[in-house]
Amino acid sequence: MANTFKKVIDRLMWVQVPPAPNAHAAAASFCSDLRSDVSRNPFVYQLVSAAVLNRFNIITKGWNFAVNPGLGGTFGAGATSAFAPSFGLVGTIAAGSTTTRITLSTALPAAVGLNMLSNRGGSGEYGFKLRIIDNAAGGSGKTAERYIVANTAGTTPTITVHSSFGFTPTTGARYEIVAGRVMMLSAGALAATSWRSFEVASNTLASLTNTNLPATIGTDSSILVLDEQYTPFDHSPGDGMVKGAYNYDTGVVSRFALTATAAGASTITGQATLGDAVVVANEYRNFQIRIVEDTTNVTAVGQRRIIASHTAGPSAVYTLGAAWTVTPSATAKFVIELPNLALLRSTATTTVYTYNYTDATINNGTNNIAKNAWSTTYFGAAPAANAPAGMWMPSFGIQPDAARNARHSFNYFFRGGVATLDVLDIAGSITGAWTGAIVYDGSQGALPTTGSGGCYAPFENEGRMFYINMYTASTVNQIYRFDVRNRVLSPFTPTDFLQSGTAALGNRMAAYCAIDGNDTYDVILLQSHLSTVCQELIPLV
Amino acid sequence: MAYFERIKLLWGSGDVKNDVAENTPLPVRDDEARNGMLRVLQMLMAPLGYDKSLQRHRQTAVIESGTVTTVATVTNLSTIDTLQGRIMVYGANMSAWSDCVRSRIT
Repeated sequence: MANTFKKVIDRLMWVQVPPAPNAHAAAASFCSDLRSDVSRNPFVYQLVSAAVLNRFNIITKGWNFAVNPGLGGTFGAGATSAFAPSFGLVGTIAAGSTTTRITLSTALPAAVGLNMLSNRGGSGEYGFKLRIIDNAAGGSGKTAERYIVANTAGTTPTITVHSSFGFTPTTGARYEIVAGRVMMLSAGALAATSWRSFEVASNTLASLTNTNLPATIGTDSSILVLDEQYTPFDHSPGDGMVKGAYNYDTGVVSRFALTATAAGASTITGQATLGDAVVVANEYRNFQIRIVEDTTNVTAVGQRRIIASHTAGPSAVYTLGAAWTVTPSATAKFVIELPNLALLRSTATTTVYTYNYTDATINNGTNNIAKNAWSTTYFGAAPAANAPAGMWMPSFGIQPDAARNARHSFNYFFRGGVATLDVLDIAGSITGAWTGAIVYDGSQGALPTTGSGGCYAPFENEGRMFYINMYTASTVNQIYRFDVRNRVLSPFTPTDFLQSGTAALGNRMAAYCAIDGNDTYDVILLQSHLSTVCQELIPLV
Repeated sequence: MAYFERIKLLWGSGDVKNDVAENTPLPVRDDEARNGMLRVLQMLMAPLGYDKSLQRHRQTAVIESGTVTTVATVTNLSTIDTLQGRIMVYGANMSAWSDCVRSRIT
């Protein structure tokens, strides 16, 4: 790490970046991609209203209008947004592949322009990430992720990538363009366009199901995205939560997997040494297992299953919520990842509204959620209703302590309006386990009321820090951070720009990853309350 | 008959009388010049338009062209010359950031 910041001697400071096109107004929100490698979508999105979605280029620091999201309902208290990297564009490929080129068979939702996919924004040096799962009969049984460097126009483009897949993808193999979607929730009476997504590679808006959401969305909302691309601070997307030693993909970023030691119709067994040999029983219940390579049973690669339960390591046996379609071989390579679910707290309820944004049913053996569906029972009800400024604080970016006092499955939730903090352990039982009003340091100073918001920064500082603006008009010290590994809330570097005005809802913070070779840094963006003024901070301590 | 004025000088010898002549002039005091100097000093200490009670100048501006309508409280300098004032703020902020933060990352 090339951080030469001297504690106590040097001081951190916020630096102004260009102002947002629209001032913060009630219920506006920020969201960003929390991937820790170059595949991250290099924008922060600002949902301003039912008709305005802006984006901020994290590299060039420029803002522009992204799209009119066309949200229904009545935009206001209860509206929010979140970013989900996976499952934006998936399908199968056509014949005629080479080691660096494929043609889509499953059409994209909208025609793309010539080479449009080879510049995903930022400084334009990378295209979107294409994942090929070579799972068709006669395939290699491998997974490869490459960056797009050229594409033909249309809905079934021929796509060229920057380097060889290492195999020639088979006709019918699965493709996933892992670009991401901005998920947007409007407020007021539910409408067909209350819950929508904006896919950032094809620039496609889609209306998603609103069944099982509150009939009228209000109060405030917060969405937690548990995406398979999100990993601990010292892992890369594709490594999962427990890093293995098997290098299954060598693209721009090398990816590592665990090696199975046995597999059954609805089980898979982990390593006897290293890797997942250290897991404790059910530490990763409700997480996902994904087969990333199986050169013996090639059609088994790419399968995703939810872990219903598992024994402790060594040789942990993972029992799955649903049987394999194709049982992997006994030496298949797999990763343990977050389950691709979005958890919504909203409308002054205790319900955890869980949305499946994948393209298949998610089944933990007790409950299941069809693709593009909401469940109100998949995870249990919270100890108390959410209130204005309630917010999720995940902890997937940490490395657990040896005793597993802190775990990747812990997701904290500030109820809003009070210092009370609850935690949902998604592995605590098959429906998760809430613990209400946990003890944490710094609670005396905590007051996340209307106007407050925050963001998780899982790239540096051991993935421990969630940054919060606890808004109080015209007060200098409003910036805090919560250590999600060690349960400590502490004040952080304040802004020089004094925030003021009658408190208005809306999350005005987002985090993203700065990458310098092998070094990564947290970067925080804050839009000042009721203002267009925006500032960045790089926490070096 | 010629008239001569004879005086006794204070610093002269006893009973000695001297005539007022070129080499023994009559001592005089120039009150006119002293008064002039005092007036100049007074002018310098309290020139025209100076309010001693406030210790400030008072001036009345005569606008010879254009129209002054309302002068409100000045809260910002949004424009300096023809440039946005925020350019200076950003510049100072960026400079401070470069010194304090950026230089700590290599």
